[in-house]
Amino acid sequence: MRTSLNQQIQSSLMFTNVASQKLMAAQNHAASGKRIMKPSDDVPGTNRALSLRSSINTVNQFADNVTVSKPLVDVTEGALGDMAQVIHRIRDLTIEAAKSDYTDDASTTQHVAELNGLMGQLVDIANTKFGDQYIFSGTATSTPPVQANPGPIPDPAVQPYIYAGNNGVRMVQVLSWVSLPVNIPGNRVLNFDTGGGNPAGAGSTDVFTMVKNLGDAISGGNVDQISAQLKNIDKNFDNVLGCQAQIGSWQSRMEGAQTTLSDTRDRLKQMLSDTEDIDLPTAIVELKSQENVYQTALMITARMLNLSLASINQ
Amino acid sequence: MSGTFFGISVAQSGLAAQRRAMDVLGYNIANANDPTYKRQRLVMVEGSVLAQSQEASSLGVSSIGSGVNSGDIERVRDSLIENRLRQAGTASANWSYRQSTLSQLEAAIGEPSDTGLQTDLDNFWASWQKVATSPDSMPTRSGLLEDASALCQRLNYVSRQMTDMTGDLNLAAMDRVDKINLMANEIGRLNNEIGTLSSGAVPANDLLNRRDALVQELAKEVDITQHGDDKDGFVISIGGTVLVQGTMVNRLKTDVDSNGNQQIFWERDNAPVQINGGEMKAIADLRDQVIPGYMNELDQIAQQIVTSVNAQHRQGVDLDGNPGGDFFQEFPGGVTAANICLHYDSNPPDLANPAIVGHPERVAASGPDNPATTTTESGKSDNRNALAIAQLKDAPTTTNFTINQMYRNLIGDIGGASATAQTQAKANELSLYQFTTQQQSISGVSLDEEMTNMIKFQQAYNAAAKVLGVMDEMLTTLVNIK
Repeated sequence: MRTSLNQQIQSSLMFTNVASQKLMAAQNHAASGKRIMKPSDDVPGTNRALSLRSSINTVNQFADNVTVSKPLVDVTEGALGDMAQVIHRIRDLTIEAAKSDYTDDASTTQHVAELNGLMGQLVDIANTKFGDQYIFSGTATSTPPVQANPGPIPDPAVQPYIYAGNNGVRMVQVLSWVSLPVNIPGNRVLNFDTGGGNPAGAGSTDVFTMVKNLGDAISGGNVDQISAQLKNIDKNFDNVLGCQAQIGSWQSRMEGAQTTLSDTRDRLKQMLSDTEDIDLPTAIVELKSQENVYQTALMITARMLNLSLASINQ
Repeated sequence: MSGTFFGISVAQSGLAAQRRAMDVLGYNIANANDPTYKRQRLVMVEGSVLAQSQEASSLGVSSIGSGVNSGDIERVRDSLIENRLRQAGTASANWSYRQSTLSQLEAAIGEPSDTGLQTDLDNFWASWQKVATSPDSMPTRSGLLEDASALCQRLNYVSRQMTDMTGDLNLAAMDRVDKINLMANEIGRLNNEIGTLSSGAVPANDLLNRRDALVQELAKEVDITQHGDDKDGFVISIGGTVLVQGTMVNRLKTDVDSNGNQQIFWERDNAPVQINGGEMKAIADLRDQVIPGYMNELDQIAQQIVTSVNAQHRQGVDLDGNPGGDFFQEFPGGVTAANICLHYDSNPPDLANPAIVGHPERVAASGPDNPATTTTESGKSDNRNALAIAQLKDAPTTTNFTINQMYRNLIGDIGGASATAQTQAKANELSLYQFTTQQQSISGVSLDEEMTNMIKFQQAYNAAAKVLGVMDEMLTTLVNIK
């Protein structure tokens, strides 16, 4: 086949061009570290990469949820622990006061004074704040859960405090399929009846009424009456412990979620890297080989275009 | 007996022929680097037998021809190959244009990356999770409004990029039509010159080359069909209608259609031009089908976001205890990616549906109280609605795909089309190269060949000159007989 001058030029131009394009692509990949720089580089790979990125974002957000919510749960657990201790002290006090040799006036005054102090402690614990939120108010966190009973129903003389929060439980999503509660409404802990009966069981009262009744019994000096308070106190004590156990289980589930999230995130990031990023050794080898091809193409072009009968035939 | 000076005239015709051949050779070499130049060749034909060259011989009459005739210069070409080359040029221009436009679109979209729409979408849903975890925190709510705003702006941006691209394609269409008209006019003018100059005999080769080059250029813009020969009856048509016939030229014009796009018509009778190839076809396809398809998919994504979030938002209660209004703005003509934004106040303001912009407390994160139970659940720290909206991220929409899946489908479509265009463009470029090679092989100037010919013509000239010299000596001898 006959070849013309233009053909030679066109052909060497085209191959040099092709080599240069491949070299540039290899350069871009190696320098950016990315195998997929635009969707057309790998269409199914791009689909995977976008999906993985979205999943990683989700996992990060769940981990963030746990980090933000866990302190609240820890504080709640601590408050419940304190409350259990106070009720335990109240129980000891009851047993002490029920001994017949402590029914004299001096002991009674002492006991009642201590009881009032313990009542105050209970109110304070119930109104614990985390930041600027009351932790035992359900979801009405700007209202103190325990307030003095303004009356007339129920009678403040019978029930000294009322529950002013609501029944809301806030759930926080920690895994795709798991949402955990992060608060216990105060009526549940303090054994208030908000329409479903007393959480600690029939026949029990809320803790403050319990303390008040005990105070009245001690003031009355009747040992049998004092002893009769023990049943209510025990019910309340078990109730608080039960709540504490529940929160404990949420705490451990949150910690479990944190571990799962951390592992999942590592796995997803690895998968994303496998999809999107270049394998550095491969990329460098590719770069070197394209450089060689390009250099060869240039050299051949330079030598070939110099050949011509015009320069040889003198 | 042949004439006295018969031999001299024979030798002289040889001299003239070789000298003329050298002229043609010089012309070839001068134009060697012009890719549209087709090499020329002097046609040397034996001179015919004249009466004066006849001599009696034993067999009757013997005669010698009268030298060499060397008037004709022909272009070396193969019109079949040139046809193929033109078609390859049309296809290659089409795919190259598609490839470059789709690459631009990919660059505008910028996925996969940390700064694309996917990231903005993910951050939007994540912000709802943040609000669900800290419902009464004003900074968190403000952050949500910021992220929602960023998502809207990104959608606006991508939509605008596509609209701008459509505008550019329209400008390109108008531009190309002007170019086609210019080239068609020039071809008609060349036809005129060719007709005048040739007047039935050998046409001017340079004009023919120029015309071929123009036709090749024209073939890049539209798919043309060429019939007719070099002289009269030279016809170029597009889609069955004549563009140029001899010196008559039909002009094209553009007109805006109902979508605001420039369509191509024949000026003479307003009939639409049937374009099936070349850059014009690429422009028309991209502008009328491909890009509107992508814009439609993007608009659907925007619509689904607005519909599902607004529906859930209205079921919630905000920080002040009021029921939730619209979160995103709803438009009577429908939500598109170009107009999606946060809900702002209507004029006059609707108290039941106030603006969300600048009012983080109006984000309805809380769920409502259940009227069936006697207990209250709704409060400042209630997050049921925020949680429900956050979980819309993975919820199927009315199209049965999740919003993420819809977006990934769109990116897949664009990526796939771009990848196809790249492959096709490369393949067609290669094909074009093959045909160019073939055409150059036939019509291109080969310096080696010309150099060899130069030796050939020089030697022949020297020999003819020598013959002339010897004839001259012989005549001198004759004349000097005393």
